[in-house]
Amino acid sequence: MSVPQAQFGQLNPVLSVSEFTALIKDVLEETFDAVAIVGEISNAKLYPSGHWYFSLKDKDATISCVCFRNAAQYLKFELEDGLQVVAKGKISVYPPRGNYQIVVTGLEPVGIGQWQLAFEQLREKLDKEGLLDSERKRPIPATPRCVGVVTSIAGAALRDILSVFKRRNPGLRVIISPSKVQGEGSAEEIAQAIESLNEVPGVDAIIVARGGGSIEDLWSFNTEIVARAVAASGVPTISGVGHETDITICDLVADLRAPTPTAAAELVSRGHMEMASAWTNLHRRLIDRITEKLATARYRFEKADPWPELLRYADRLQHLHLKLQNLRHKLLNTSETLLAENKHRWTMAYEKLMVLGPLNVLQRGFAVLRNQDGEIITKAHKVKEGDTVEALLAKGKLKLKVIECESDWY
Amino acid sequence: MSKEKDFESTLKDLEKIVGKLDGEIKLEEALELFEEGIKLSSDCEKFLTTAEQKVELLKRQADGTATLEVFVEVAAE
Repeated sequence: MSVPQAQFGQLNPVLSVSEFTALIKDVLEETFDAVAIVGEISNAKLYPSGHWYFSLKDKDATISCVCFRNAAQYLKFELEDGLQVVAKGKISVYPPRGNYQIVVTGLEPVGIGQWQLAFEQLREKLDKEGLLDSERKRPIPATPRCVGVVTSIAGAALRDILSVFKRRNPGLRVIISPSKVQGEGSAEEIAQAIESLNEVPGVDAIIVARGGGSIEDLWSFNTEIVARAVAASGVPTISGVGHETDITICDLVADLRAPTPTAAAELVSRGHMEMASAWTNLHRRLIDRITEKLATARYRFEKADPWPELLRYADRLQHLHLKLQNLRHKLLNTSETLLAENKHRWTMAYEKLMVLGPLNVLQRGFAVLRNQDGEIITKAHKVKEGDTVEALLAKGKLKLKVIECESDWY
Repeated sequence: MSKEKDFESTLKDLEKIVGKLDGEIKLEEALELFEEGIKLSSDCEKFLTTAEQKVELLKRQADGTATLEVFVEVAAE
C-alpha cells in the first residue's frame, strides 16, 4: 500500500476527507484485524438492538468498543463497569464520525472464569430483586398427589425419579413436561415446560431436574430465563440438578433445592412415607384402645351381672339340698332304728311289768288300797274309822268304808 | 377418600379420634369413635395402597394448548 507523502509546501496530491479517511480505514483495519486488548470496562450499555457499547480503559488511555448482537448473544456474563476483561476483535473505523472502535468478537473476564462470573452476576441480580429471599420459599406439600417433572424424556434423571416414586409413592400422579436440558434453546424449553405445567390444574409440586454433567452441560439451569420461570411458577418448585456439589441458579430460586434428581423425588415422597408410618401407628393405637375398652367393659359387665352369682347360688342351693336330703335320710334311718329299738325295749318293759307289776299281783287276788288322795295305803294306822278308801282289783275297783283299824292282822 | 379431604387431613381426624379414645369415655362413645376411626383408617389405607403408578406426558400442541397422554417409558439413550 502506498501512502502519499503529505507535507506542507510540497506539491502533494490534495485528498478529500472521505478519501483520506478511507486511507486511514484501510491502514488501520488491515493492520489491526485481530487484536486482544486487556482493560477495564466503562460506560457499558446494552441497546435494545442487542448490541453492547462500552469503553475499555486503563490509566492513560481509552478505546471505544462495540459487541454486536451476533457475538453478544454468546456472552455468558453481563458487561459491568470496572470489570477487567480481555477483548478480542478487530479495529473498525467509522468514516461519518471520523472515529474508530474495536468490534469485539469475544470477551473473557480476567481473574475469574466466565461461567463463574456469569453465575455471580445473575445471582446478584436476582438477589437484588429479592427472588432468592428465604421468605419467598414456599413449603412443598407434605403429601402431593400430583407432581410435574421438567426434564429430558430420555435422561437418567427421569428414570431415577420414576423409580423412587414407584418404590416410595406408587399412588402419585406424575406429569412429565419434557424439555431439552442442554444445548441451544434448552433454557427456553425448560422455561416453557415449567409454564406449561402451571397450566395443568391439580399439580402440587414441580421438580426441575437434570443428571450430572460439566458446567457447560448444566448451563441452562444458570440462565435468567429459567430462573425467572422458576420464580414465576405458581406451583412450588424443587430443583434437582447435577450432582451434590453442583449449585445452579435454578437451585437458588427454587422453593427447595435437592442435591440430585433422586433426592428431589425422595423429598417429595418423604411426607408420604412419614404419613404412612403415622397411619400405621394410629391404626394400631385405634385397635389397641378399643380392645382395651372392650376388655374393661367386659370385666365391669361381668362384675355387675348377677347371673354368675345366681349360678353360684344355685350351685350352693343344690349342694344344700343334697346335704339336706342326706341328712333327712340319715334322720329317717336313725329314727327308724331308734323306733325299732324302743319298741323292743317297750315290749320288754311291758312284759317285765306284766310279770312284776301290780296287775299280775292283783290277778292273784290281791288288791291295792288308796286313800282319797290316791296314796297307796300300806299301813292300817294311815286311815281311821269312817274313812273312805279305794280298792283296785285286777278288774274294776271298789269304794270301801273303814269300819275298824287294827295295827296287826297276823 | 373424598376429593375435598386429602390424606393429611384424614390422618389428622384419625389422630383426634385416637386421642379421644385415650381418655376416660363411655363405652358407647368409644364404639362410635372407633367406628368413625376405622372408616378414616381404611380411607388412609386405600390411599396408601393405591399401587398403580400414573405417569403422563404433557405435550404442547401447535395452537399452544397443552394435552396429556399416557407416558410409555422409552429406552435410555
